[in-house]
Amino acid sequence: MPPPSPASGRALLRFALFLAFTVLAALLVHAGIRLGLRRVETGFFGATNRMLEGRSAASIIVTGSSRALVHYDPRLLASATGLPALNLGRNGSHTGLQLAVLRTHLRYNSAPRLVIHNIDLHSLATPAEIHDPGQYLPYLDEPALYDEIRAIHPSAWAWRHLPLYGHAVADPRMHWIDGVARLAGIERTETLVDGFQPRAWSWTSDFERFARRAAGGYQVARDDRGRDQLAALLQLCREAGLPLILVFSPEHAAVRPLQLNRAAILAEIADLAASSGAPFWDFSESPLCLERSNFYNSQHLNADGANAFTRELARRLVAAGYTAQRPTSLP
Amino acid sequence: MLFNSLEFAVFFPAVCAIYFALPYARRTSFLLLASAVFYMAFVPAYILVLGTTIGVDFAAAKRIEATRGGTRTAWFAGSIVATCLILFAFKYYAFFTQTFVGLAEFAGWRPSPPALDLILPVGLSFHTFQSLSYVIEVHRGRQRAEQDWRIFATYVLFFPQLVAGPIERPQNLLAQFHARHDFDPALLKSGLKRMAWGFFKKLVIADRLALHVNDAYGDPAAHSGPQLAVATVAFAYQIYCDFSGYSDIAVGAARVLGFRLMENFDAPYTATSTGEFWRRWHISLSTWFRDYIYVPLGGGRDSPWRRTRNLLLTFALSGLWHGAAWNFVVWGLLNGIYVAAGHASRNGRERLWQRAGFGPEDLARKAAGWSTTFLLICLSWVFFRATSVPDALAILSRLATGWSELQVTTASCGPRQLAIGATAVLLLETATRFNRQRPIGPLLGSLPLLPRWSAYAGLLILLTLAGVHGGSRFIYFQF
Repeated sequence: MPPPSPASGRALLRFALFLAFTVLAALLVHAGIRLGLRRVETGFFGATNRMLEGRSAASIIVTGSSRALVHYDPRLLASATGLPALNLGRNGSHTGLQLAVLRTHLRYNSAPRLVIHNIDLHSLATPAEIHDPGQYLPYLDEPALYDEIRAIHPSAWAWRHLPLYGHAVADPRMHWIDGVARLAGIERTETLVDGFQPRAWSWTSDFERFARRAAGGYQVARDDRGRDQLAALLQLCREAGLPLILVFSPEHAAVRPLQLNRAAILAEIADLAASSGAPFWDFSESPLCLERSNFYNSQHLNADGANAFTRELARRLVAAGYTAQRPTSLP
Repeated sequence: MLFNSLEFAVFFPAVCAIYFALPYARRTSFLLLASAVFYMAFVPAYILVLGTTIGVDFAAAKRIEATRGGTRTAWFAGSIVATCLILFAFKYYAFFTQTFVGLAEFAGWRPSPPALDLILPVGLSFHTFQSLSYVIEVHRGRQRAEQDWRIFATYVLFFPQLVAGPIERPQNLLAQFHARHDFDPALLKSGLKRMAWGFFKKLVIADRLALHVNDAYGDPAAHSGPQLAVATVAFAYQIYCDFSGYSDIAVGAARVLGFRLMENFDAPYTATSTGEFWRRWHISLSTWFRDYIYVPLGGGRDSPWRRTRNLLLTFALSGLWHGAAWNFVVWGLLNGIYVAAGHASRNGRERLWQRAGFGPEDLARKAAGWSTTFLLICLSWVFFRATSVPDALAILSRLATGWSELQVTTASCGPRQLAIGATAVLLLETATRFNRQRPIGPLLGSLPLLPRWSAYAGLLILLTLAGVHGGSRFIYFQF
């Protein structure tokens, strides 16, 4: 073996010191980004930060995926019922993650008087990936969120513990820029209203493209874990004494013939709800479902559609007695 | 094993440490073993394909050197045919049988040749061409046949450039396996810097722009002219940064181990003619085709017509080398036409420029040459990136549509992604030009320790945060 020269030894030591210096710098940057994201006041980070700081004084909370996010206007719910409302819908989230968001909300905030959980046809399925995991990176020390994310992405431990690793591999939308911007005093424009994100979009061609690909119809995914997660959500509310309503908000009627096992999925959800004593309100037959002008694609109502749907839901809530002592009327 | 993987982040330092710790006599064997491990991380069984090529060409080269006359020619031809047959079976069999079946059906005959259903081994065209260049050079008497099979096998398998080049000539690389390489801190430093630059190109530029390109080219009918135009320019930089980034990492990794690989790119998008572009792009392949195809065909020696024929043939073969599909052949031919037309019109263009009062160094003339070249090369990339010739033509026809709404972003590549990609491209071009006038490396090296280390650490952190770390393959791996 050739003997190492003293110059080589010094060079290697210097290199090791540089690596240590870089790791230290990465730790500082990581901490800075996290601090910045935890201080953001707008958008999903703002909504999550307010939740973790116990600033959500809502009596009605709405949980679910993007369909919850863009369908339920808390202002209309509050106005009709007299109960302050908050939308906790998260884009692309599955039932397990929606449950984790609900658990986290309950950990830091007073218990609501009503939970409205929006159902999707995919509510019984566990995805292979978390949608936009970057939005959860500053919150991986929250046990419920971390456990669910790790169940889908076993490598999430590295996102949590290795400096910057999560932002490198799990933050394709580069949310870290928002953290850096916040530290510099820059805040993005608010896009949410009490957690609700109205989308004033007209019909896109998304559905037509999808329908061409799935011309012969498709089986909506479901799995036992997905079912267990929905059952766990029902159980959580039952054990905590939280009134819960499962709501299947409108989807455009044209998509139904393509969903080959639609009836079976909805029946399974209805069974779960019934066994837990929770009402299941299915809006599949709402006239809203027939009008394309209410949607921007088959799964999502646009702002006008969301307004009409929330009013319809609010009336039903009032009729069912979910009101404060002195309910107000809808504007 | 991908350079942009955690496996390589463990593999490379371990190989370097063991390599320099071993006695000199064991180092080549170790490099061979490490290279085999690196290659087998893709599809282990395909090491046998490489082993066959290595065995055939090693034995043939020795016989070529030892014999004369017809025997020598027979060994040479046998070696070339055997090596090319492997390439044909894995890469071109399906293409040629499909083409044959298509032509036969046109003539009313319905043949059904057997399907081989082979998966193309990673980088097959690269190591096949490297091995071929060795046999050709031995046959031409410009290279002694290697007597140690381990050294020859390491020359073909050398892991930094195994799967995507540079396609080395034996005169440069083979001799280096006979030399002793001591650990050199200066080479470590400069090699790592070169690797970091390669990773910047790959992760920050190529993979970021790929988000846009994959959206637009994946579903051209759903994207407008502005989106497709941006995607085409983005692809020009994606493929450049993907491939030259790989070359930078290869050159840097080899340098850390004490080896010097040839440069494969020389700022190709600064070219002011398509001929110059091809002297700056994938230099190891361009010179391979020049030396072993174009020049033996007669090059540009005899007549303009023969030069044009030789250029078109060489570029068509170059296209076919890239991929067994007609869109690659069209891409090659299109570039051949560019270069041939450039030769044919050179005197006329020169007269026109002179009449207009512009000399060769005038900025306006250079700008016109640069922009025309870039536009022509971008148009040819449409055929390279599209999945077929009809697909490419459909994209070209859609380029003119949808300009009333200037929508340039796509679903996966929003304004933030596109801004980062565009800024990185600007940074690349600025750094390339600045580096020519005043090398950046020594400039940073002259800073005091703390600012210097802060600058390096800052760049590494930026690379981490701004890169796309999905472990995507390099485009040229498929060739």
